[in-house]
Amino acid sequence: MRKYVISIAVVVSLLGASLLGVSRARAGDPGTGVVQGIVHVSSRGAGKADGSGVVVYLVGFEEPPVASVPELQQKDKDFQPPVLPITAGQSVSFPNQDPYFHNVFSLSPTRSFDLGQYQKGETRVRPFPKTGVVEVYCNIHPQMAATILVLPNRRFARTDAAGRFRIEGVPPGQWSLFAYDRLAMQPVKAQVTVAAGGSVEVDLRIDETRDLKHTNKFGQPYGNGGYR
Amino acid sequence: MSRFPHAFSLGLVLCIAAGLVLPATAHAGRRAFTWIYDTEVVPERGAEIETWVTDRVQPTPKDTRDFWWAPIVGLTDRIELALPMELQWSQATDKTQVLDYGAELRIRLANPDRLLAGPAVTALRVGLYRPLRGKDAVRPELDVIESLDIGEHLHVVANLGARYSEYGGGLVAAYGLGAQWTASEAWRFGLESFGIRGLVAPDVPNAKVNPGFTVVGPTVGLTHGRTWITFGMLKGVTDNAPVYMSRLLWAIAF
Repeated sequence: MRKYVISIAVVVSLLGASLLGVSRARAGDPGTGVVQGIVHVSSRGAGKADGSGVVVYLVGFEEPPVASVPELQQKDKDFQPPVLPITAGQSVSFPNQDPYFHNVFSLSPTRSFDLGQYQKGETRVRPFPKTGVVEVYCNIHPQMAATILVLPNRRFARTDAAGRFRIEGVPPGQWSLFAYDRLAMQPVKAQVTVAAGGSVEVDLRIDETRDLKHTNKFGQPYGNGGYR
Repeated sequence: MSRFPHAFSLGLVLCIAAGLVLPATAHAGRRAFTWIYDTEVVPERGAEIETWVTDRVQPTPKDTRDFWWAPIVGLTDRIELALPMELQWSQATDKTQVLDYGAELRIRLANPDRLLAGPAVTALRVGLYRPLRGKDAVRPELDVIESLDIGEHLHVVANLGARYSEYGGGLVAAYGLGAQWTASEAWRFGLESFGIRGLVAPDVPNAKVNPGFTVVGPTVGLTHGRTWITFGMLKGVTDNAPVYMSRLLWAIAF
């Protein structure tokens, strides 16, 4: 039930805000602004030394995707990166860099797929046309889990180890800003007003309390109940 | 007097019972219809065990009940290999015998991903069977399958094929058309038509060209986790057709 609450929260943030204030602003033009700040990350109330990996994004306007195809790598029985932000319409490559098979799949309503099993050095590519959250797992290794965030524009950034982020080329206007941590129950939201040539500073707090148990591609528990 | 085969009651009870007690998942069903082949294949290096139980109720006491069983393996993301074996019980002899065994390749001529493949997909099925009755007998089979997805719920499939049996039915054309509506993640409902038509008589003395038949009827499918079930009850609508042909298919994926 919790995973559906999380997915619904992120989907609402992506679709609802976009519907309320869709703008075809052309970010990157002269007169755009900057949104920067810090995300304080804690784990069940205790501060974390490493605040990296949180994805901060803006909704309320759309942009076309870039042509590049980012990778969600299968390496050392893990996915890299654990959270991959992309723009709606972009494709993702899933290269296997391990010396054994993986079976990458997703049952997310935004985009479901089953890549089958392929060897080291091979890859499969899938397009992601709809905004939303795509939870990606391996049907063989329950500890492998990642999230693809399909966003309406290219204005997103990852936090560094200090929790700091910077998003440039933001069109002027009032937008909703979200910070997504796949270990948090739901994204944290803030409203930002960006002026042409201006800079907005944001201070957010996010707590990691999510239980990441998941099922295999048949909707059933793994042999050890699934974990991570 | 019409006679409903046992498989009909069994199939209906299984589907209803499963639907009542089993929650649905998002795993896609595999076979939309009971006689017509479809264009979906097992994922690469995936595997399934598939079973069919077929009842044919004939106008004269020549009812048959067939059991078809095969492991199916995904060789690539577009090709699957099936290794079936078929047994048959015949009312005329009241005996069960191994009918044949063989191998089938099902080749999807499109990306396995629905988004990349588009709504229209073509597949080929190439089979080679070895009937146990008939020395050196071999039965090649070929089907061309075309599927079309219309919107989110409607799936239409056309199937055209041929089978050749030197000592059995000769050269026979097989044709089918079906439409299925995906009602939910678990339930699918459809209508299917299937038929055969003899083209060349078998190579035996006094043999005649198979006149063929056509059957039409509803199908229902249920998907749950690693299991899918499809049941169809088709009624003969031409001369020489069985009174009823029912088939229950189920598979367990690995």
